Amino acid sequence: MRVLGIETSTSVISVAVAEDSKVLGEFSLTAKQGHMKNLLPLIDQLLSGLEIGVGDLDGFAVSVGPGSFTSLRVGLTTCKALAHTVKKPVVDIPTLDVLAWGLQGVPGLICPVITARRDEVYAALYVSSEQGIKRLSSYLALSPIGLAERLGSELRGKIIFTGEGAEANWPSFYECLGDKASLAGPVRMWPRAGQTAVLGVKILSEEGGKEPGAVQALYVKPPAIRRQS
Amino acid sequence: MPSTWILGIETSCDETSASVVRDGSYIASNIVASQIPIHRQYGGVVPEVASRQHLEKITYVVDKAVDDAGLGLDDIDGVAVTVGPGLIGALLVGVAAAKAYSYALNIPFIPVHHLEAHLYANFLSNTELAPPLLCLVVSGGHTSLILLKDHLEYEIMGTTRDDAAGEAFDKIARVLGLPYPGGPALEELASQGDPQAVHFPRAWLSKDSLEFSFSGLKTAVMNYMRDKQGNEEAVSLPDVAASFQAAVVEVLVVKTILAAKKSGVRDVCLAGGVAANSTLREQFQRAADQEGLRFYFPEKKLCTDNAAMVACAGYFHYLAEEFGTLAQEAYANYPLINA
Repeated sequence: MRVLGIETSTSVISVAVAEDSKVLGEFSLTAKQGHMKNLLPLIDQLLSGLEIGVGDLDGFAVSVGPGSFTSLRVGLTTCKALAHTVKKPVVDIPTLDVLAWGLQGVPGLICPVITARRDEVYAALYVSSEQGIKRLSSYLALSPIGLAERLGSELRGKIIFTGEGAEANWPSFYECLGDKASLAGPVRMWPRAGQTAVLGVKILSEEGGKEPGAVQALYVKPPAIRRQS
Repeated sequence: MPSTWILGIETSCDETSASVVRDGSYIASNIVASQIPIHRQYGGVVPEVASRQHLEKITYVVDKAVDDAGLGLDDIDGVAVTVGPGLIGALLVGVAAAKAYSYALNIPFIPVHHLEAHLYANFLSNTELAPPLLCLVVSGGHTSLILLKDHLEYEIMGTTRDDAAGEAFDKIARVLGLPYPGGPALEELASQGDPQAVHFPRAWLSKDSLEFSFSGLKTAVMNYMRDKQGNEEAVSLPDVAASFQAAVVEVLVVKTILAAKKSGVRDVCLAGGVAANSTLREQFQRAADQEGLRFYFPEKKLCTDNAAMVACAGYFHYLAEEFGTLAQEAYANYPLINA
């Protein structure tokens, strides 16, 4: 089973093709504003390199956020239109899940953190088990200090942080949680489409995917609304 | 010659629209998912809300447009989309979708300018129309006199220095306590009033100028309302609406006729959301008849944002083999004529 993974939640634009549990190819590029310009050319280069066409894919997997609203919509729209054209299902995967699955097998709690606007972060708590990664909390949007204090009040064992939002706020997390907390390695800080695609294969084969039209972004935060005067 | 089917996509503001047009003239389908009821509760378009709606609706409107045309996606020959100007987050959804459809179908991707799409709506409603012609595009974002010298060859003869005509309509509608969208509500109110009740200023700017300005008129109406309310005098809202509308319409008509004389064209068109205004259409018709000009306008549902006009303009780019690339971006600000 071959799945194209698309990841545009952060400033990293990432695309990958997974065949069963193996990543056949992955391109990732950091470009703060360049998602629109770069995403489809990267997909084209990847598929050309692998000598497969869009029609040869069995499905699509897309990271649906939370993250940058605008860049998420570029990835989701592209995924939905590609899947619609070739009539293949889409697996929608929360970006925090993608980051957590990157630490599969690590003991203790896993907390991926993604930067949100207005000095907040997106985060959720996970634990690794024999069955894979299990989510323990809802998807949260809160201040970095708020997250650290909330974790500190309940934390018994160890916790490992991942994601660029964790790296950016590591001093305050460490100050609050001390040696119970650790930070994943630098390559784990940004969500990558290889992980999205591999998870996509797993979910598609176990549960199936969605109609492209039914796939939505996971914003977590409501839209900012300024009433017209 | 076989038919050419263009899929048009439009998401520049608050309508998610897809359409299939054959040979730039026959509308096989034109699906518009309007967000007006959603934005009405906020008194205007909220960009983030609009973008979220576009993402939810985009594949549905495309699917329905192709289906209603009695076709499959495989039958489409090219995908045209509005790439700007407009709300950036809204435009991105349409452009990303159009690029992905054209890539997966291996057919040309055709970027279209929003103003050009409005202008080309005239070719859908008037099949005998041909360039050269003059078009006044009037909407919430634009007031532009465009000379179409030949297909896809534009000259801007005049534009607004401040507010667009439709923007003035929306702002005055809000002052008069009318619901969003203000333009149609103001027109309705004006139909019950006397257009000569209050003389509001007309901004002619210099003699022979083809530039527009509506901010002075807007201020005059607001001051009039404030003075009347301050003196606790009764105000006839229909009279104010009719008098304001008359001031806008008079300037639009006179300057367009002047531009037609300067350019020497015999065909004059209207386009854009404000082109749906009946008073504007009547005054244009009267003036054109007096000057011996032929006057054209799109049917009302093709005046507001829709994808059929995008597909129509896209067809002429298709014929000229003017295509975009996979790296195409969307632009909030985007000049019609690239220097």
